[in-house]
Amino acid sequence: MIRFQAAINGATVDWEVEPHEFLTEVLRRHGLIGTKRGCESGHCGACAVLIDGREVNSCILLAAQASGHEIITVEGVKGEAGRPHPIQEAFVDSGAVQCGFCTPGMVIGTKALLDENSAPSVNDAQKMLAGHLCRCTGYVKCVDAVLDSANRLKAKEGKAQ
Amino acid sequence: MYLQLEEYHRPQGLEACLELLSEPGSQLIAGGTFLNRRSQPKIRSLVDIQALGLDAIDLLDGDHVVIGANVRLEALMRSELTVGHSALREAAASEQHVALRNSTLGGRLGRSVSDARIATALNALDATLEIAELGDDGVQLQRVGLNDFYHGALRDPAHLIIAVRLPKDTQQSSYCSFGISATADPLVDVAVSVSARGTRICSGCHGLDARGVLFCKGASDLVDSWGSSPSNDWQAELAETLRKDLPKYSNAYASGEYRRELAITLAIRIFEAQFAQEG
Repeated sequence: MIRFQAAINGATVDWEVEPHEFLTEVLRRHGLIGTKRGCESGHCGACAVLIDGREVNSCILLAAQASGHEIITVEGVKGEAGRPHPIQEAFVDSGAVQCGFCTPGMVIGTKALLDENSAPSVNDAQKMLAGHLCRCTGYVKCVDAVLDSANRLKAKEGKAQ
Repeated sequence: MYLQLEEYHRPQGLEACLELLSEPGSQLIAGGTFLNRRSQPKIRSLVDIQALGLDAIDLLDGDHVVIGANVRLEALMRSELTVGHSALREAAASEQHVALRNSTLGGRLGRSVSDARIATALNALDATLEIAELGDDGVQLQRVGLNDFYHGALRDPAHLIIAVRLPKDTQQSSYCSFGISATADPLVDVAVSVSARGTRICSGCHGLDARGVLFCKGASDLVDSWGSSPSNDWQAELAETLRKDLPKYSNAYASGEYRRELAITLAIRIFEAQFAQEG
């Protein structure tokens, strides 16, 4: 066993993990089941998390590699006063959620994109979503949701000022 | 077969890293995109290089740009490389997988025998690799060219690529590849650079029995002989010379001749674009 110390969704954790365990399994074992187990080969994006603000597929990242870093899972993408985050609201309102299995990864991908680029183009949204497989929606509404997320966050910032 | 890993190490220095790598069953890990649950049964111990500080791009090192081996392709795409090094940015964008976001420069070079698109661009840019190895007196550094790396004895796991060095005087460069689909590995790729040292035309050997990256010397010399005014039938001249430079490596998707003609077409397109830009 090796020691895993990290900041997950703002809370410091100190866990023991096996050297061969991937981050997806460790997160889920500790109750963070929003991170989905999908292809387990790094292709579908359902397991995406943010590590030091960067989107990573946790199914091909050993937990040991992530030790010492700041991790945000979909549980850490929260709105104010118990409400969903504007990105989550945009996905629901755009009709971009059907079975919902890929949605946590897409929400994480959208957050990573918007943290870096607050006004993404359709092309930027498509590029980000290219790393997230969805068998239900056909992606059109997902692209709408990413652009709507940007508008909602901009409007929220405007109100705050 | 699932991963049978017993040990994970994150050494803080090169010497400790190389000692760990020299043990049987050890495997270097940078971005780690080659790992997944269903493969790699023979790796017993992983040596993670994230603490070695190899993730910087140094634009201030005299005559060279020095890029750490652990720099991610994603970071290269957004880096402040000059127009002279744009081939590297273009190759990184082509090689960066939409879902496997952790690929690193050293990882792609070290794990690939012949399919690293980034290697084609680096060869055109006349790059050298900085390699660390464990000698009798501790860590020893040496610099090797890409082809020496791909053909030589440096694929011993106890060696570590620590950086890539690019001459700063490259005036312009470009990279171009062709694949059957947007996500497939390319059938062939070509990179070209121009500097006071001359033109370098290189092609990746993405084929059976292919190793490393080809420097097309005859074609590069031909372009240099044109000076600022290529002849009217420069495309035919260049094609003819490239046919002599490039071997006919086939792969699962295309014959060697077809792939060679594709490479020639890509090279001609790069020069057409350059000449159009120069008016």
